[in-house]
Amino acid sequence: MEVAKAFEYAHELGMATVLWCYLRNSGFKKDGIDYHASADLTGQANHLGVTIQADIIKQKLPTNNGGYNAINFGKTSKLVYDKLTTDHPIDLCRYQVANCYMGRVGLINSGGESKGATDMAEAVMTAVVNKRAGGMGLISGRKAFQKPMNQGVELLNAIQDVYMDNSVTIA
Amino acid sequence: MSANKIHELLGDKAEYYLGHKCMTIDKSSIHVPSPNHLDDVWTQSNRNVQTLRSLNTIMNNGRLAGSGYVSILPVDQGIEHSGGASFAPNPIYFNPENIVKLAIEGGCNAVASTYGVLGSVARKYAHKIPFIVKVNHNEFISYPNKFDQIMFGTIKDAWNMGAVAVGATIYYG
Repeated sequence: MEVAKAFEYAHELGMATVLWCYLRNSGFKKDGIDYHASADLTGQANHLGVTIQADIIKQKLPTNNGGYNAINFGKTSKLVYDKLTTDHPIDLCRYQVANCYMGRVGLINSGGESKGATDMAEAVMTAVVNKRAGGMGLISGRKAFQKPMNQGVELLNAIQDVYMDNSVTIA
Repeated sequence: MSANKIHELLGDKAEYYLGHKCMTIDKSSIHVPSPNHLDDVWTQSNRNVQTLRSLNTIMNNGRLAGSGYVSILPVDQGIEHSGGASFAPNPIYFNPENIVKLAIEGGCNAVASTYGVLGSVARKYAHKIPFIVKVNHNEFISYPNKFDQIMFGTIKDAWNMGAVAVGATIYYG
């Protein structure tokens, strides 16, 4: 509610609104699987986020699906899993885009923690999935600033190159 | 970075990622980002003219300017994960100016950071790169840790420092 009011006032003043649209509940882990980045639950978080008029949604790249059923709460539809998603990360991300009013509101995926040597490959993969799913970009922090500045610039530029490359198409 | 380099970084999964065709929700049914996104989508909405200008400012800065895509540098992890955990790998980023410099030199559309970070260098940089002022955070110095987003700044002061957007976190669930 507090954020909805803050966004309303920001819009009144003419500022855009960006929502860090996350899930957090210790109950969202079941049998060793973490559903905080589940496509169905993050999709619904996006749906709530655009409802309070976020102009850009920041969401984690989905890592799995079926959070509702695994945790056995809320409401979902069998069709979400049979027709609207597959196990492919691009299809899972497409479901996140669908929950941003079919892309009217831009979906940017977050970059996640810095792990060192694999950062570049992970960031490029995330950008490819986001772009091909119909997302609007990437918001990557730790992978960019937890290293020497020149390497951070290189990583940010690599992400941008994915979006500039016409051979990386919408799936 | 060339297309070959993208292939190389994706390794043996290159075809899995680059060749996939989405058969679930067809691309024709979504609004794909484009240089005309603002005109095609947002001008139909209730967002006021100033907000459209702000969105346009973000869309038209940095290496992705005019593409419909955005690349944003977010640095607010210091509040939740702690400054130490965030900046120990490269302590120059305790200095807010270096955060903004990284976003500029990295060709980002915008820089997203805290009320304090962006406010400390606003007069020097707010006209050089779009500011997204993050107004709430979860701090993890309360013991035991709790999940509670509290406001660290106000919307009006974000506007006063020249921000084109505000950011906030919600933890659903």
